[in-house]
Amino acid sequence: MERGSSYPNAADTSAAAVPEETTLSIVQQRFKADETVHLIFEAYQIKGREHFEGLLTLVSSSSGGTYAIISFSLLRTPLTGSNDLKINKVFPINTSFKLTTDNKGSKTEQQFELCTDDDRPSQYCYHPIRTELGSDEFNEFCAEIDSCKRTMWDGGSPSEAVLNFRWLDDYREIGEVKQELKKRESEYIVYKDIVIYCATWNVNNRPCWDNKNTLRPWLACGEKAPDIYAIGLQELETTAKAMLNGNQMQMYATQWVRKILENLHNGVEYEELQSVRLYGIMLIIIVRKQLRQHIVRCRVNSVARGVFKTLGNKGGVAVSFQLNEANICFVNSHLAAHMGNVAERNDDYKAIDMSMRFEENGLQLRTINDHDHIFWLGDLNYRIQEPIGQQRPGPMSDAQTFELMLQFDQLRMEMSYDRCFKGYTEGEIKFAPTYKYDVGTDTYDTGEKQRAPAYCDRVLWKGKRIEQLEYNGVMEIRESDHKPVYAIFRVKIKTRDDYKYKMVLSEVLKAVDKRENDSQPQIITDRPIIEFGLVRFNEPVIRDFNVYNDCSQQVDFKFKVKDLPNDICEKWLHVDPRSDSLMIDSARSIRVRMLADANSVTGLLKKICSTSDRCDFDILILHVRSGRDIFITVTGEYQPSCFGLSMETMCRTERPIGEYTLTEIKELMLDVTPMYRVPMPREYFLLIDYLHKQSGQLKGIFQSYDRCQPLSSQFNAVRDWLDTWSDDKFPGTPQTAAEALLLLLDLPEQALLEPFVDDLLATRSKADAERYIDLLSEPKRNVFKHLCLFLCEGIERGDYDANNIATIFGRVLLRSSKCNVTIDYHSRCSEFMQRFIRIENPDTVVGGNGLSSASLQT
Amino acid sequence: MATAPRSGGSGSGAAQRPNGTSQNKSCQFKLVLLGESAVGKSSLVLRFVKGQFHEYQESTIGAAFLTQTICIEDTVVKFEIWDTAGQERYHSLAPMYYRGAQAAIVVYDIQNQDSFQRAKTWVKELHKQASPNIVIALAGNKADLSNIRVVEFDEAKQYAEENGLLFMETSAKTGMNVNDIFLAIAKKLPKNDNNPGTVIKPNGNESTQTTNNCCK
Repeated sequence: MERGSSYPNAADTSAAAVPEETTLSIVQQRFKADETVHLIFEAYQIKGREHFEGLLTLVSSSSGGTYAIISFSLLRTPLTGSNDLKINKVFPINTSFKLTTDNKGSKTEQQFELCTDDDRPSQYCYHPIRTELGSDEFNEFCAEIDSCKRTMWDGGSPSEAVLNFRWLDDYREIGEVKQELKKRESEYIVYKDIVIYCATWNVNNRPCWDNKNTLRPWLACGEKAPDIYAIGLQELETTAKAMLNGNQMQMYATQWVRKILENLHNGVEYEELQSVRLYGIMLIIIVRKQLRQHIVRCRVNSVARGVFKTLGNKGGVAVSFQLNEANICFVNSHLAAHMGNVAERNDDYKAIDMSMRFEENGLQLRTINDHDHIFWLGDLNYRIQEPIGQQRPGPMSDAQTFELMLQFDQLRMEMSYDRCFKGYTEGEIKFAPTYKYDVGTDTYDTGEKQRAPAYCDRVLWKGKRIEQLEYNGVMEIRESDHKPVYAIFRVKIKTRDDYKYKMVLSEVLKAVDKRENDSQPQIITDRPIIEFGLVRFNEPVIRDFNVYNDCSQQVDFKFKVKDLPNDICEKWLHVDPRSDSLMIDSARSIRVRMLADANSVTGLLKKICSTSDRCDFDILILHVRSGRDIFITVTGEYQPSCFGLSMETMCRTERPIGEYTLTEIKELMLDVTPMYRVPMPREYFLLIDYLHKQSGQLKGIFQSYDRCQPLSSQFNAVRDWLDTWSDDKFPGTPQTAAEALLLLLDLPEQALLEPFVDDLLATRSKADAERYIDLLSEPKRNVFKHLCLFLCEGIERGDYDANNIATIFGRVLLRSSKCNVTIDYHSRCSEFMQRFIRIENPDTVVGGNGLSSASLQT
Repeated sequence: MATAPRSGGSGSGAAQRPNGTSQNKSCQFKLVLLGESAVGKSSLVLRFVKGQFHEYQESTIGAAFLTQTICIEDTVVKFEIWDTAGQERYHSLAPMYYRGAQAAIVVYDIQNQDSFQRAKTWVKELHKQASPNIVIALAGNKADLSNIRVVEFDEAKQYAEENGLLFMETSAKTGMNVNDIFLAIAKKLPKNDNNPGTVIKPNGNESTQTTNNCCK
């Protein structure tokens, strides 16, 4: 964990090592000048079964006044620059932010979850750098977050409205492309001139149909037709009666909009973009029709002031929208009245400025000041506070008189003391005070109160690239006790040059692609083909190969699970390790073991038969996380053995199986003609013959059989004896011979009594069953009969127990792919076998041939 | 008494774009290259992604993964390209790569009739086993050697038309039609925002993800 030096507890960093300082500075580079990285916490992010190394950084923004945790993944370790950091998640520390620990009691596996907003929680596994300090660091990390919450919410009730997380938009859900585009903004941003016409008029509760006359002197000034009109009205109709009748007020409003639309600059098509009204305060935004399509995110809001500071007879309304790349805000306000209420007016301004919010991403986040161009207009009600004895000017006074009066303008004074409208500008006033006139005249108030003339109606602006072209009051509109005011501006609007933008975008995309492709983790293997050479039945062979990390980052690899088999490799292979991580410049040896044994030989033979060319043992897919797959071919020559071959295939051989090549055996295996060289496989005969001659030493040899058990040590010698038709003495014990016999019977894909297993199990007598036995292929029929005869004799001699034999052989000979479907399957197998091995009249079984070898020696 | 503002006007119809700026849609597609060994699959990808060509491109033993992003009109299309090994011994692994792909380029060599036949088999297999909406392009590569061609342009074009494939003769060596074939695919792919595509991430996890409409 690292702390930023700007944090109050900076003294803690004294112990931090130099490289860690570097990490902090690299991370800091990813942020803007007013954003500070306070803390870095290393953590694994867990995604499903995988996890990624990452950094959690606690960052604050001085402009937003808020904190957030930004989660980075590392494209390279150790970090060499800020480009190695990729943002994968942003967690604003807002009211919905949560850090939940899932303490499973282990200090090193302390998991916690971060979640925020509507998002699904992202889970992190805490991974301390220094294990012995791990728990403390995590607690510290949690404490920091708590402290941030306190700082932001100041102990009071958390209110999202006063906090601003907009600075996070530059990091949220955007990633590299947008960040790059933002950096290169200057290359594709141009500024387009538009004319904005601001107008304000306190209409003194007159419905607009009282105004028979044209509004053009107010709304159609200026040489150039405006692009945007922002027209503010005050005192629309605020009699108590009207205020209680919403419909009536709405009608007045609609009338005004209609009237205004009729009195705009000629020759240009306009449309109403948006209107907003708070009782008598109304703001109407009208834009050129062609401009409409370039405007997005149009929002309105209002802040009520006035009686009890909430009634809404005073206050402000505002419209916010985005035109091209510029955010524009218009405010129309009617502030507190009367000469003496300067402070109230300032308060009204401050309240509107502080509380006006526009919705963004579902939250009221954007403030008035979060706009590039702000125009504030309205009846601000600031008066001329002349020293006592000052001569009141006549109605048609000249500019010099105005200038004189403006020296005592409350707004100018308050602004000079920074008590209101901080940062706003107002143009030079060269027109007569707009208040208060006798209605229908250009004469200042002659009524009882004889109010002093004042510049109540004003237009101010704030923001860059704004130039005021005109600012004027309109004397010839006389329906109100106020004169209307207008101001025309030329504004340079930030606009994206689509052509340049596309150029930059394509460059950025190219660069990001390049980085993505070039930063792909790479490993190399020392051989794409693992050659096992000659592989024999029941003899494991081991080959090792190496994988080497060929890039500058840690690489995780694993062998991919394939569709068939649903594993990383075939049954006859074993791969270790199945997955691992490689540090930079490190290598790892991977061991592949090949074993064609009782469990796998049938599958191997089947695969060999189903492949047209030379068959590979398997192809492994070595998958590099976030990178490519490498195919590793595992190949070799399987030395055929009688084990696993069908009786039919064995009867087609003319010489020992050990002398055949795999290709030759494959041919025999694929041969389906009923042409056999011998009536029964010699290998069976040899085994049975040997066992037959060992009578008296056979007690218990068939007692137990399980193809999954390891074979006896003499087994391979017996295999060779069988595969070479050796004349030598049998190289094993009767036990080995029994084992080999059962394996020979058990391994072929088809059980000896297939395809009649179901039929045979359904028979009730030996005679019934024999009808099916006669239908078996010649080799199978002969093996079966020969075997039964041999077993019968053994039982008769008392070498073994009939029940036991029936159970073991029944299961092997009647092995069914659907086996165990019925509960009594095993007992039925045994019952079936009993019929054939029980001594009744041996002659009826195989026609009195006995165990003659005559027919096999041809 | 209500203090809420009432707004009128036509603002309700305002277009609401998520971030205001950079409204480009963004889609991500998985594309797989298939075809016989040595027809130039890797070379096509290398030309498209890096603008390079190697006369002696190593044989691909595995499946290479690269990304390339292009802009068409207002949409940013990111291709996740899986370049597969063409050797026949690896054929059985191909479904792992074309499964979930939204696009495939089946490549043959215009000088090699067998490779064209093999391409047809690939197309058949894709029609049978790949996702039903997959956009398939047929690329007759090595078009710079058209003077010694054996697969006629018209023959391949007719085959492509009959089977609803995009078709171009390309040359990874000269760059001819390389960008164009990817562009043509990008144009043909559906780019509506709510188009859920199954994207197999390079980490090998298959995940159903909705193509998002925000720029990455």
